[in-house]
Amino acid sequence: MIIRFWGTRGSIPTPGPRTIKYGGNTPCVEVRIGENIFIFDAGTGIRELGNALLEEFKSKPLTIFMFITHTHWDHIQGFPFFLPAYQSQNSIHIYGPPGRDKSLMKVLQDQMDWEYFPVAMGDLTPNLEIDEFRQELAIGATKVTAFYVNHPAMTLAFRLEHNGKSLVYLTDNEPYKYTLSTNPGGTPREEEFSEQQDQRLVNFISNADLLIVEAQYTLEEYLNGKIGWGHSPIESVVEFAARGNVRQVALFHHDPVHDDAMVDSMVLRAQQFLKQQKKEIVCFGAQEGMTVSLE
Amino acid sequence: MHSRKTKVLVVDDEVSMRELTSMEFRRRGFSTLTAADGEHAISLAKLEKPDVIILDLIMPGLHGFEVLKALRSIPEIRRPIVIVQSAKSYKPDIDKALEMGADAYVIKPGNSGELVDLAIKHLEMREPQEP
Repeated sequence: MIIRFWGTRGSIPTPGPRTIKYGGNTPCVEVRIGENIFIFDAGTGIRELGNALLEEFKSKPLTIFMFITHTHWDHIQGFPFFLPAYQSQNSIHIYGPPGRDKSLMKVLQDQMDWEYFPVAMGDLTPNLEIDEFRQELAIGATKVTAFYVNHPAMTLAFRLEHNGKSLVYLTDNEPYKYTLSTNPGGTPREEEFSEQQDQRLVNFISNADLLIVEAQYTLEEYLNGKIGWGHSPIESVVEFAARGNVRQVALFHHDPVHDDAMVDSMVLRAQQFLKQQKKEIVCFGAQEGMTVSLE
Repeated sequence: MHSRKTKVLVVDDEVSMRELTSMEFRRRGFSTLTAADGEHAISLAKLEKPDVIILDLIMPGLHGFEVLKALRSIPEIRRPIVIVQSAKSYKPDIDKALEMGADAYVIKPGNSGELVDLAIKHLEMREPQEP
């Protein structure tokens, strides 16, 4: 299983000299398992991925399995620029959560309404399938399971398992610990309940070989006006990773305000936390262009 | 006022939440039905036509929003009072649930006694007023 990061930035693209190391494109991660190509999210990073696939495969027909966590703009805005979707020999299967009162297909179609974009979705490859995905599916010998996370949209995390290796893609999530008991301490019942909810997520990520996880804020930033925005402080992220006993953590969905030096310092903070916990978990900041192998 | 005939359907994938909520409704004189997922909830709603539905959002299978949409669009289900009870506390989720036809939204874990009071309040608002 080969994982490559094409977009690691949250919220909005941030090109420029401040973000050269970690990158400025919004979320897109490619996973190769044998001949199969999986893509997680269609942020602006997917444009370069599409170009690279065309360069590699030329006109050879491609079958692509694309998983969309949710339809907030930073997770779908690159899709209209994904060139393999314009070639009729390619098959693209898109899986994602249903919208609240619009279907996934309608949300993706609307993004390509002519008021916003000159090409309609109907002009893409005829082999484009969009399936609302809720629990699990098998693609060959690869199993993909989904889990609803805490974010102000219908948002899924995905777990991909193949031949004893596992990857969890968990972006845009906020601990229930903060959204359900924001009063100091909360009531004991609130605390117990929020802990139960967070434990469900820990169970979902448990023993993953690689956890790609959002780490948008420091705890100070988070507590200073970001509660309820649907994202996590890095302290919670590494605590969950430690509790879930994952093997590697890629910190992801970097805040657009954070420059490379800031992300470096957050990665260091996460590594120090894990060391204090005596956890031998490899922790790094996801960088655009970075490749991780789980062979 | 509600009577023993007043039927409440509690939809939640977590057994403890389902039992706690339905126990409180039964204690207050309602009859209760339970469903652990959205598909079962829609089937039960068609069959039993409950007066009140307590609806979780995050469940395996159909999401609570999908269930709500179905409940509000199936003609044979007369319009039950739907109270969404969810661990999601975001305003966009709350606003959307109300826009889609939920009568109220409460955040878990909440107080089951207050949830029953809320259901009674909505039932009374629905009852025709005496001249």
